[in-house]
Amino acid sequence: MSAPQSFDDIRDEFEFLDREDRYRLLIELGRALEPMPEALKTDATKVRGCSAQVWVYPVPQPDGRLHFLADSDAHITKGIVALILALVQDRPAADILALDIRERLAPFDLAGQLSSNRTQGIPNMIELIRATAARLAA
Amino acid sequence: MNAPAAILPATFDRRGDFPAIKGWSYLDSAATAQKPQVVIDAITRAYATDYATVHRGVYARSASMTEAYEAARERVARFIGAASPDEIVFVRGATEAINLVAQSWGRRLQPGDRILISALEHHSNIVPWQLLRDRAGIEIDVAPLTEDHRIDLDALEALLTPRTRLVSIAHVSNVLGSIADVARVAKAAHAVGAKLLVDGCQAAPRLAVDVQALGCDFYTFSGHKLYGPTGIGVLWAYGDVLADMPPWHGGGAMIETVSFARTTYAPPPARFEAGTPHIVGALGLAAAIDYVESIGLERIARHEEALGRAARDMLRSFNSIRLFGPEDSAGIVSFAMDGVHPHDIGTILDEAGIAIRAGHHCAQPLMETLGVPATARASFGIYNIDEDVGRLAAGIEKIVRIFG
Repeated sequence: MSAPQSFDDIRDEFEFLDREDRYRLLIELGRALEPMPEALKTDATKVRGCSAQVWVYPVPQPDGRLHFLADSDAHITKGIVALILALVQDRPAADILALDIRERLAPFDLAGQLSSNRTQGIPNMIELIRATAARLAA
Repeated sequence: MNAPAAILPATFDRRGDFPAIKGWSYLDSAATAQKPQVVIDAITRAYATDYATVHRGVYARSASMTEAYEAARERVARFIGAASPDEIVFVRGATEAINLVAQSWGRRLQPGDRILISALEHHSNIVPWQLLRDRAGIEIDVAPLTEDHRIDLDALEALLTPRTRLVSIAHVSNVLGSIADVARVAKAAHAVGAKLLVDGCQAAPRLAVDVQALGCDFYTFSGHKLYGPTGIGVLWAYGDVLADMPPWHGGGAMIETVSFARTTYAPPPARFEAGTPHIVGALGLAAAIDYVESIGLERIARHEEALGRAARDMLRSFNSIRLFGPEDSAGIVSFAMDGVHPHDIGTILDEAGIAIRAGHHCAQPLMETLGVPATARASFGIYNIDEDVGRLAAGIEKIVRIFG
């Protein structure tokens, strides 16, 4: 199983997998994520969460696109981080704002990972991406 | 015919008492316990047909509610072996109890006085003392752990000084399940003139507690971990200790007379129960105590110890798993898996209908001591059965397969 590139490809592959392979796919996506330099994993880039930590560092590009460096110490969470980045990475801020990230992620909602009352890591990451995009698009 | 205790099975099946359990392997009782129907019924009755305020009304309903509220206090006193119900202060939970002691009893402390805690304490037994330190200039000492993750009592004794005014430790660790030898700590603390506060949150639901036999000076636990409601807990201290403590929250019910020039305060426990108390919480807690005592704390302890031991043996069979805490832990098992974050473990187990806790368990300094950012924790309660350990094993096997 090799990590597919586009979000839609990932979703199509995901649909055909059984539960255990879905986890494997997410873990693999996380492993294939662009590494986030350790020096960037600070309290300033840490997203509020409980048991799994998530770090996000937005890097606005001169042409108005947004690049993100992100990571998590939990594998499944990191896979979801990778999924989110597959949606938003290097896109113009206005495009990111127009996306309903939560809705696009719904098919991947394994064991309620994305519900806001569980761990705030992923929902807070989505909020941070939207806030950054809103600031840049303004 | 009664079978001798020795050949009774170690575990029992009380799932039917708990409407929330139905096929769910709930292994997070150390965070909060599920409620038996008898507790839910007591709460419903208290709000539905019996409800009125306490200590104030001239009407019969209020008088009977006051009696029930005070009977709950007596129930708690008997449960922990207190000499008098006047030694029982109802609080929101153990967190509030420890803050009460820090804010009220702690007012007498002078700069340079010391408080001794341990490396395995919950944040609720760390932060209130840090707040006091910031205000009063006291020092906090921390007793280390032994290799098998108990409080190192030799080291603790060596840290006692004539300036140590209070030792404050968990009776049972919420992360490791290790049981502290409270009687030994009490003796050592008293030898230097210090008092001993014991956080009994994880002990009260699992061990028979007798505060006088333990020899401590303060004991506290939360109702919700004892199969009772949230928002109700208990602080116990000897009557003369409480009588010597100033109030910390002002308001109704805690006063004797009020004038703008001068207010005099009620004797304890009323002195520490400002405002309308959590009446229904107290009644629910009494029902929970009736429930656990109907089974028997010794039986519950044996049940959870058997499940905890089975879980430890099962987890040990996986090469990638590291266990924390001593072998004789009280129904609480913390572990870590090589290359798998506890959050991943919790996520995959949840899908299999198994609820564990993943995280730092409000004990970040302990995580540092253990050298991990977080642990996975399975904790057992009355409603767990042997099969839950089997399901946990199947869940762990699945994780091993996924992470390969």
